[in-house]
Amino acid sequence: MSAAAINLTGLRAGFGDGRPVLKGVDLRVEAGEVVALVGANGAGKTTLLRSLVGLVPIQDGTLAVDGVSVPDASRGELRALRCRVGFAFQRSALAPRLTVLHNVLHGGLGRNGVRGWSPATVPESERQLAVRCLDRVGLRVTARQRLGALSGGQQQRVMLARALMQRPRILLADEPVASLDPTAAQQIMRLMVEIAADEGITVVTALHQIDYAQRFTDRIVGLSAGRVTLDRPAKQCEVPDLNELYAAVA
Amino acid sequence: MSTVKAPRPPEVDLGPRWGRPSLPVFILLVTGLGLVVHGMVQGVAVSPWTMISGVGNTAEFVGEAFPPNLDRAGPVAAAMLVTLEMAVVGTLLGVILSLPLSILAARNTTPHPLIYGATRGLIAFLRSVPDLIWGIIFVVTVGLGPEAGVLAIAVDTAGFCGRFFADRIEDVDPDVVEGLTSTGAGPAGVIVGGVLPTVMPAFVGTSMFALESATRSSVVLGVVGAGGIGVELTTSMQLLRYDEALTIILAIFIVVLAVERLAAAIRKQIGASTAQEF
Repeated sequence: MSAAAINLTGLRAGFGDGRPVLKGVDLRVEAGEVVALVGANGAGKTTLLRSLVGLVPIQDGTLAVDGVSVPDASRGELRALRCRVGFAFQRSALAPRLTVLHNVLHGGLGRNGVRGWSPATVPESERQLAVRCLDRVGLRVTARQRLGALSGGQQQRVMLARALMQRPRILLADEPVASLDPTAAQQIMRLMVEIAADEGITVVTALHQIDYAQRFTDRIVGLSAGRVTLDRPAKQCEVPDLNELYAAVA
Repeated sequence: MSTVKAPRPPEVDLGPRWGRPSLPVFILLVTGLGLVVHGMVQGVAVSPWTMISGVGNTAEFVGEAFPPNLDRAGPVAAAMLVTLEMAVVGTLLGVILSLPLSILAARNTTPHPLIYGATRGLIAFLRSVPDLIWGIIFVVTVGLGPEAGVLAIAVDTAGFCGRFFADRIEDVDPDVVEGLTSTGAGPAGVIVGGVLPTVMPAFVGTSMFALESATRSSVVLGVVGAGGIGVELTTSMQLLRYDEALTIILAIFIVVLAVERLAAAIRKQIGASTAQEF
């Protein structure tokens, strides 16, 4: 059996004060899989994604990402892991006053250090890589525009380009299509899945749109109150199963 | 036709019109009144007799000051330029100094809570000592002249900007910090890549306020020997050359107003672009 890209057993993680959000999660994601995390607000989707790169205190259980045991990793090992795990947040994590190219370059801050803070100081090879990442999301022509001048859908594509700048083996996305109109949302989902297939990237994305989860991902994992309550191939998921995840907290 | 008499509304006890003040309010009132009475006895308060005699003296000053004497326009302009340079260089140094201070004094960027506490304490100390006192101290330590003024303005600006910059850094959206941390960026990368670009408009706006304040301070600092136009003004007043003094006062007015207008225009421009883009 090949090594999993992500492997969690009995994971308990949550707030710094010890209150768990995840209450014993078991999950194995194979390399190249595209997995959707679905569930109501507070179910633990974001906490699960953040715990994968060590942004949440791990209270119990095992958690291995790309062969690295996250709870046991030193600060340096954790930073090295984060360098190769792309994380697409919602677009509020970008800097609206900077140019699009500038924002994308920040995906390389982990390997370039403070040299990577500006297009003027970064190595030329990194500039070219940033332009290729923008090209991949169809925004090469906007490179010199201020990010704030772009539409919400375009900004989310910039976020994706920034994650690609990390040259990731695993891509985590936290509700990447929240607050986008259906057309822009489908573009982002399609783009993310196409890139993952082309580059062999493993994707785990939190989603509220269960129809997108069914259409664009290989597998759906449902979370409810910090536990996995559904784990099936996307094609085998029925809408009533998914609706139950939300009905449980209504 | 019979009429139905409306029932009389119940009486409501509204309490006394004037309530007795609470003990803290009473103590504050008595203390304030005591200070005013003591001040009048000691000559601190402005008495009507002083006001009346002051009107005559003012008329005499204005009569002697007009028309302004432009014979020394050259030296006055040179001194004004020194004053403006003191303000600009002092503000620049102060802003540069305040950047590391503010990063250490913001909860979300400080490396350790003890460093946070120490830096906040240092900033509070810099802010609590008036710029004129810094001017006197630096005249003693580096001697008479503009250098003392520049240092006084730099220290005063570092306290002012350090506090406001730190508060703005603490307001940065945690998503921005976490977004860059998740890319493997170190603390320095997060600051230069996420925090500083986010707070830059507020930094520039605050720096413009600091420049306005420094321009006014640089005039006053000259009075304690820290160089610039203040020295010229003190000399003219002490030699009773009120027409020269008026020239200097007008020069100060023009420069201070120009700096204020420029700073306001820059702040407005930043505000407009910020509103448009966020």
